[in-house]
Amino acid sequence: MRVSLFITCLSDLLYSEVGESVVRILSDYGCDVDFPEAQTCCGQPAFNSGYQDEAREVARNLIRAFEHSDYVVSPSGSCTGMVHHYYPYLFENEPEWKAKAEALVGKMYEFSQFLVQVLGVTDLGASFPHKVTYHPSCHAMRLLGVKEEPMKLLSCVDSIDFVELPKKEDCCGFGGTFSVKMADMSEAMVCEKAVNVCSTGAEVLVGTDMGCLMNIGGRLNKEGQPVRVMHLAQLLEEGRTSR
Amino acid sequence: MSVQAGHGQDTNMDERIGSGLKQRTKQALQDEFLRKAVAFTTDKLKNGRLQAMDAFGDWEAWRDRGRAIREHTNSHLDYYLSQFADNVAGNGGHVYFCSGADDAVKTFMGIADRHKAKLVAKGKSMVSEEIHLNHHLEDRGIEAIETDLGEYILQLARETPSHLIIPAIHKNKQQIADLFTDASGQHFEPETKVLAEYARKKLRNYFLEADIGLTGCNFGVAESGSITLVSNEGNGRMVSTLPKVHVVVMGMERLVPTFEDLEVVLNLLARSATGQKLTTYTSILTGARHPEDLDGPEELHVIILDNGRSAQLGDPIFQEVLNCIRCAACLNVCPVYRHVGGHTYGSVYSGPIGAVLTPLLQQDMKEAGTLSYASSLCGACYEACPVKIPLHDMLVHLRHRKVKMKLTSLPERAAFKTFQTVFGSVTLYKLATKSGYYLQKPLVRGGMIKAGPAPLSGWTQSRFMPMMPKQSFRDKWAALQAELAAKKAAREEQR
Amino acid sequence: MSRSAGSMTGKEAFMQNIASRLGRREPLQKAPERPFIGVPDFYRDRELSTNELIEEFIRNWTALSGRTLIVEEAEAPQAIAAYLKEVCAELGITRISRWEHDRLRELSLDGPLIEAGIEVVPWREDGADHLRLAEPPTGSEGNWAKRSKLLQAAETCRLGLVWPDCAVANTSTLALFSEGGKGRSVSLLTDTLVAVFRADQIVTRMGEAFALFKERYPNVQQMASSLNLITGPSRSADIENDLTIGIHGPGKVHAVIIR
Repeated sequence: MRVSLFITCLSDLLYSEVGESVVRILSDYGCDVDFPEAQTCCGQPAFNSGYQDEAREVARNLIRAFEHSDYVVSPSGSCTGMVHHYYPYLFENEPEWKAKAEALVGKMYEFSQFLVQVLGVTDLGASFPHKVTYHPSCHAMRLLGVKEEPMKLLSCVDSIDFVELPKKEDCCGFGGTFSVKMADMSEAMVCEKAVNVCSTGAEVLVGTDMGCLMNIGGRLNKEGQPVRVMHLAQLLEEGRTSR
Repeated sequence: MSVQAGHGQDTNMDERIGSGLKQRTKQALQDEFLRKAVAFTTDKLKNGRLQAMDAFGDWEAWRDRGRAIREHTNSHLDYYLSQFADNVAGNGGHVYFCSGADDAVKTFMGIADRHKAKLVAKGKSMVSEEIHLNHHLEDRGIEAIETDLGEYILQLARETPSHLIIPAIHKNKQQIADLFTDASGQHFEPETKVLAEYARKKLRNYFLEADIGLTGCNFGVAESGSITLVSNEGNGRMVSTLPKVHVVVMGMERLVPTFEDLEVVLNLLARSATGQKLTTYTSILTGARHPEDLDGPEELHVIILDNGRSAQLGDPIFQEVLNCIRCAACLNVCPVYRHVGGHTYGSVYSGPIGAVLTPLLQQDMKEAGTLSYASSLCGACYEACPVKIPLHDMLVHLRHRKVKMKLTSLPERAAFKTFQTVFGSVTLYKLATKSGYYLQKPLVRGGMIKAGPAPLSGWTQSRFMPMMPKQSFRDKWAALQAELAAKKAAREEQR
Repeated sequence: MSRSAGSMTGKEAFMQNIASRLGRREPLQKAPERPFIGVPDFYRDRELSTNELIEEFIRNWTALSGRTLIVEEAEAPQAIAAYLKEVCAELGITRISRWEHDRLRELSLDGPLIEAGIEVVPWREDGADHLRLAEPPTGSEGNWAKRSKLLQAAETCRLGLVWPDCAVANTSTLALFSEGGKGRSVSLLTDTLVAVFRADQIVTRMGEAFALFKERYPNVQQMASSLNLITGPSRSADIENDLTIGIHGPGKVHAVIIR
């Protein structure tokens, strides 16, 4: 099975190890993973700030980059959600491009969604003997409808001590440009999220979106809290190799 | 005693909805009681809603039906509103169509003048807040009393509601006791039972004496011209039963076609608002009293308000906002609302629905449009909405409007133009991100960016930022490919 | 008998604007097609036996702090009179209002109540003529002093007695079609509300109460001016979320079901 990785700009520039974990896992399950070099960003920062024309041109670049892919997998529910939820709208007045956008939507998956829905895998044979809590990302849950998949994968991990995060469905306050534009609102939200994470006593916070994790992790860092923040792919890969 | 609404505050706030937003946010975030009270109440209402949903069976089917009914009504509003109005008039009611707030206020004053009204007892009505009716009544020397307990408390405090369902969500018992003490001259301890008993007695006399009872309308039923009012306290029934004149002010979209449809929206409203199976009192009022009736108002007047609503009709993106049934479920799940409360929005309608509705109704993108940024776009509002209004999408589209109208700052516009250029081509992307690595260096301390100039300072005021490593994923790709190829070869050899 | 004529101001331009916003040259005159109406099918199709209806009503009513008495038809007059006397004694109530309603009259409750020293105000024009009323609470000058003696008397009653037109099991709701002798005030102005009805008047859901209402008044212009759905006691949570019962309407609610 041919799978193209959409790394997302955030993971490309700041969290390359997340991409590596995704690629290694997919490859272990028989996927022939490639990395279309032309990709950059889904355009969400501009779109969510109201700059739809600017977002459209960035989106066009992404559509082109994956035009010849069979499947596209991304370690972000938010970027995948952007493509699924808004790309067809962005090209509403350009039938040819709208068709291309819809084609991308049809083959694009978030990482956990791809494992569970397409590969049909839930037990990756990982073992992770740590206390772990999980923050479900808003866009994965609400734009993409990915709710059960990450939990299915985590529940199959051996020796994991899983604790539920209080108020887990509350946004962490990232919201892209919201975090700097409405810094005080965002701060109130991320502080509450950090308090909730710490209240679980977990050693590890796992998630499916590096935007949220950068936000919560940045807060935990500033507070000096010894909580390790990981993408689900990293946790699974580490759990497989340590076995 | 004379109680009148504090209007100075809310009108001032309206003018500065956008530019005052950050300042109000700061103030609200410093108010520990407010934050605790709002968090506690919204959690309680949210949990009530979730339980009520579970007990109701196939909530999604209900939401779909609720949405379909509201959508159908608004898409055929010319038919249903006409049918509704004809039925109201056919039942002896007086109907007034008003395009703007001034028009509605003038109409109400006309009715008040004809009856030489000195005292108006008000049921809860967001539309009357929207048109600042209390302020105009005060100017005319007409006493207007809010009779919903929460609204009454706010009126004594000269404040505006901060929540659609629990308007005095931000007031504690001690503050309420102090307000009652000041208003009555007798001393009150902060005990709910005592305070409520006082309010009951005090407000009862207003119900008996009022010249006019004024209410909003939760739903109008087109097929009969009925006005549906819901309340838990019973004040809606009082003001629509005891005074000789009942005046309704309602938004023009507040309709359902039939009683069958009314059953759907009443169920959705109660469950979404408070988690009740049904609100305690639902009054369905059809015309003024009949000659053989021995109570009820002798006259019924219905003021139907546009005030920016019709501008949304036919709009492919925003028409749906008219489907709102004012349950406040979106406020109760909104993490922004929970932290900053309703007054931070600076407008009559707060929370996610307020952030969308206010700029649309006021047709003001410059100030009111700024409310669209008061959201992390988490989508919890949409998920909670009983009629599935995509508020998170609308917020993004409002920001787009602001951009199209060139109401965003020059540096911001330049920044996103640059974003388009750089992220639209991988060559420029690579070049820019490489220079980014070197540019960040003066800011990095111990592998982190802990402080930086604006706009980065917005981030670093509460968080650290990881530094950009020298190698991006794409830089590592070749090595990773080689690793996988070797692994694959090894596997094949084993076989 | 009919009501005075209504009036309409500003309709035409308003409707024209709406129609054009909706992309029509003229306001729509013909009723639009309805591919769906009312509640989802799975909800509509639910059917319960009489016993299940009684049980469900009582379960919901009790959860709202409502009290219930079930009486057999044969003993209804005595049992209900005794119950009312008990409630009045418990709360020190000496004056009650009631609907002027055939079913209530058939129970002959007035006699035993009057014997027990309780004044009864039936909701009819001369219903309060036999009473001496103290000066109204708002004084002898204002609006209230000029209102009918019946209304003033009803305000002094601390218990209201009604015979609902039906009751809804799944929300424990009383449906009162208020008109004529079935005054709105009787279920509103008192501290305590007692509703007496027959078990076969209980329906499953609100929509059935609406259907009955529409069936009773096929002509819109004859519709009872007030259909009240009452679901438990008056309540408020406006003071720091403390549930307060009996804020404006009755705080104590009783259902008497005749089987």
